[in-house]
Amino acid sequence: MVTAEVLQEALSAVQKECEAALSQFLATEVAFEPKEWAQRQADELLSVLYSFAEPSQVRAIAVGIYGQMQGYLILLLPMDDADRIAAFVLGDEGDESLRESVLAELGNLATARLLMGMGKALRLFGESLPTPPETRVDFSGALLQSLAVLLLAQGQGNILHALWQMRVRLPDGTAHGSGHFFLPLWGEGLK
Amino acid sequence: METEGERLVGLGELVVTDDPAVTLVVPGVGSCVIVCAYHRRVKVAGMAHIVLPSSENFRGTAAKPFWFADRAIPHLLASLQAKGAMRPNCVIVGGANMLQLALPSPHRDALNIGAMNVQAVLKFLQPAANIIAQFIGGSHGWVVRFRVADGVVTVRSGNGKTHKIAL
Repeated sequence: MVTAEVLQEALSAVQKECEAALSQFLATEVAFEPKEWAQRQADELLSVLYSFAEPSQVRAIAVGIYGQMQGYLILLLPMDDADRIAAFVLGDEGDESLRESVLAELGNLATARLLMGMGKALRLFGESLPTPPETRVDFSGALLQSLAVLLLAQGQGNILHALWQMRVRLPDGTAHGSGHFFLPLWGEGLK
Repeated sequence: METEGERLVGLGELVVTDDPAVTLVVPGVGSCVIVCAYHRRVKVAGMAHIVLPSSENFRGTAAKPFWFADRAIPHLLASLQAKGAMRPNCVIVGGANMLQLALPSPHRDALNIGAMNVQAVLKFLQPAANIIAQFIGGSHGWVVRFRVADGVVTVRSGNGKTHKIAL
């Protein structure tokens, strides 16, 4: 059984790794500010996640994790901020699929760091794999609701939920986003 | 986010009201199913935000009875009937498969929860209500607004389309 301290330490390390990887990829400063993290029951998570629901469209990047470690990462970016991040990388040349690729890569990079960091903290040395990132434009509430129900339908008991705010420094001002990470904790969960 | 007169209907919530000042709002529905029910003569509205198809084999159902289609729909219909609203007109929204993540089975099976929700809702709703419109399935989410005063349901889709239905 993993302790809360170990998990906190692992999340902090993952956060720094994500900052470094995304900063390098985007060639600008990317900061992840931990907003909150908690161990929750799947049913409780439904209500918590729905409190983040807004009837506005976002660009979302979702990645599933399967194998010894199972979980989900979803990055939510306001439409304008997502477009600005993609334009910063691609200039005026990017079409829609290229823009999506840039954003998908953010999910790829973050998930790789999460897999390494959390696998080490939880002492999971078996194989864990990410799905290809899925990018979508949709309502944040609908996406978060679907993800929470998915966890519930899979019968997950204790789930680690970490929420980060993401800031990307761009020439025309900071772009913002948020990242939700869900990791089922087997057994009784945290000590 | 909630403005005056707007009443958010959260996951597993069921609301029945005849207050004409109220608009029932769901800010995002994906795999869940929203049932909007209305009776024109008595001007009573009901909304259920259903999360899962069945309460069978589920722990703690007593605390969350309206999460489940098999518990929520009969209660919604009975509550409307108690206010004189027999055989209401309905719109159902939801049951999307929003995330098509390339997960291996058996994890992948859970991605179809939206379709199971729709099937369960129709099973319990069809015999006792008039289903006027359905916005179900697909891969986009919706935002739903339901005005009690005149029974108008506005459904905004994640693909940019907006529909208005008078119940």
